[in-house]
Amino acid sequence: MSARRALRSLLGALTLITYLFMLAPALVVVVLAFNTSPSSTFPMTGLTFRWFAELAQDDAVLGALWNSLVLALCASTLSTVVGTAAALSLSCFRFAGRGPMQLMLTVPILVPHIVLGVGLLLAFRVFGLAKSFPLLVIGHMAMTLPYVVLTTSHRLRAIPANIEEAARTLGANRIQTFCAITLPLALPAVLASSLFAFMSSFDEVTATLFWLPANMQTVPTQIMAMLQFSVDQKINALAALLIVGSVVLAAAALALGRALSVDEQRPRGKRT
Amino acid sequence: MNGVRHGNVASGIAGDTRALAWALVTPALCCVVAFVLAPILCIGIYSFWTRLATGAVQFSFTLDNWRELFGDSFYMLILLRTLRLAAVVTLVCAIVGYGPAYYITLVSPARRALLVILLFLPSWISYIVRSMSWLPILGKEGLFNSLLLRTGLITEPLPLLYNDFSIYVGLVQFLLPLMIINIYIGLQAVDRKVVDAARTLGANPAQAFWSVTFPLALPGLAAGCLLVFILAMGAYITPIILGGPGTTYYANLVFETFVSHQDWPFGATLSLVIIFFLVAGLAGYAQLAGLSTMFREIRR
Repeated sequence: MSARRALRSLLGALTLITYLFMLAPALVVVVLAFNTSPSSTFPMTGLTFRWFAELAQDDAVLGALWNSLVLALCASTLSTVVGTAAALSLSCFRFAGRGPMQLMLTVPILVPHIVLGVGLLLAFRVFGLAKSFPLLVIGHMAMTLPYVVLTTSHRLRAIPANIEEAARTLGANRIQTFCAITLPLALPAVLASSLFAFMSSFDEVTATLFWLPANMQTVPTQIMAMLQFSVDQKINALAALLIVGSVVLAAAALALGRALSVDEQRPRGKRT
Repeated sequence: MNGVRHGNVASGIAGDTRALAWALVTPALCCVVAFVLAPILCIGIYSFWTRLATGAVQFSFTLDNWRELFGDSFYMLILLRTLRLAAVVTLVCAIVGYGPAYYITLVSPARRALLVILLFLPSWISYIVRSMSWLPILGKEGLFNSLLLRTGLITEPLPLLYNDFSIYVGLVQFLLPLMIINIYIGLQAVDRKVVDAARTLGANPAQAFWSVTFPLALPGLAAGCLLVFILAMGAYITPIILGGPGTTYYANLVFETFVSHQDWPFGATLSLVIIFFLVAGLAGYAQLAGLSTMFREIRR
């Protein structure tokens, strides 16, 4: 028995190290962004907000930030609307061809972004379309759509069918049931997955490099451009802001996911 | 869990609700067909088109692009190097990730929830930021080298950055959370009772793990390996940011062919190879566990 306990402690230590490996580098960037030394090197020499102030004056960065915000907002709104409709269909109805359809809508998650980038670019060419912002939005929408379908349909399945059944038994029609029961219960999950769609659109870089119209930058492509010259402290400040923003959005999505409290009352299978 | 909806309101499906179901799913279906599947088809078609000396693309069937790919040792070298990268990264992620994934199944529900949330956290943080976060750690005057120099273990900074080492490190860090999530989902699908039965019948913990838990949880590991392998094969940003001279990988080649050389048919041919590996991987997975188990959810 004590050998088992030792093994478990060993696994725990291993897990801790693995998690540190996955997450600590981002922390290093955040800490380093406050370093007074203009090159991003160790040891730290002092603390300053100077790089954030410089960042706020950089027109190229601000322009890229605006582009990214508009792009991510448009793309995530579209993919949330289209994806939620599909998720509702896949989780609230049972019809022939549902399984293959679910698969078809989620498999694009596996396609590397370089292939998505190349493919859509070639398709634009076939139809004689020049690169433009609307096409960029379409690409990002298509890329984030599978995530919305996947996460939203998982969450929708967690809504117990008997609640909807009760509403129907009490005389509500299908539309009333949907508006009064299904939608409010699903809304937090829908919002959470739209936040994720927003963030992944905002962060996408590989396919974006293929689709970007000339003379336009998004935040990630702007970082790429800045990295070509040198790794200066302004990039670290920008990266630190992105990390903090991502963590805040993730926390918001988590809180929204928790709001689907009916999930907790659902009868469960065995607990270990 | 998936049985929850059985016997729900939609079970006696009528004509109008079937129409509603299709109406709701059609827009998404059209998007995937038009913006993902049809473009992949375009890649396939383009790879058989001819590029003229002027750089223009002509619609005439040719196998030249494929001949060039397989005939030129330069391209084969990069492909093989990339396959080695993807294989090593997959193997490392599987070995390093299995322990933590198994550990998550052992701890209390509260701690388990925290560990799962932390696994998803990286996917919210920009890929490019996660890649560049290694620069101040592995650099000549980075965290590691300055620590090692101070302790006197080394007198010269180690060459940790802008080479294959930093690319492997960056990719493992990028893909490890995905591997752990998939292994964990696989482990979750194992019925505790079967493991308990094996133990009751006299298997020791190691035997129970290797003859019951591991095979039953294999679909999760396989899904993780497939995902990590394909994403490592298509990784473009990591070699750009963490690589140095002579560390060109496959995705960089694809990008260069399109953007610098403007050779669309050959670029399409190169991309089709990645799709080939993806389809082969999916077919293998379908044989092993059935495609429908690919995207299972995490139970809380």
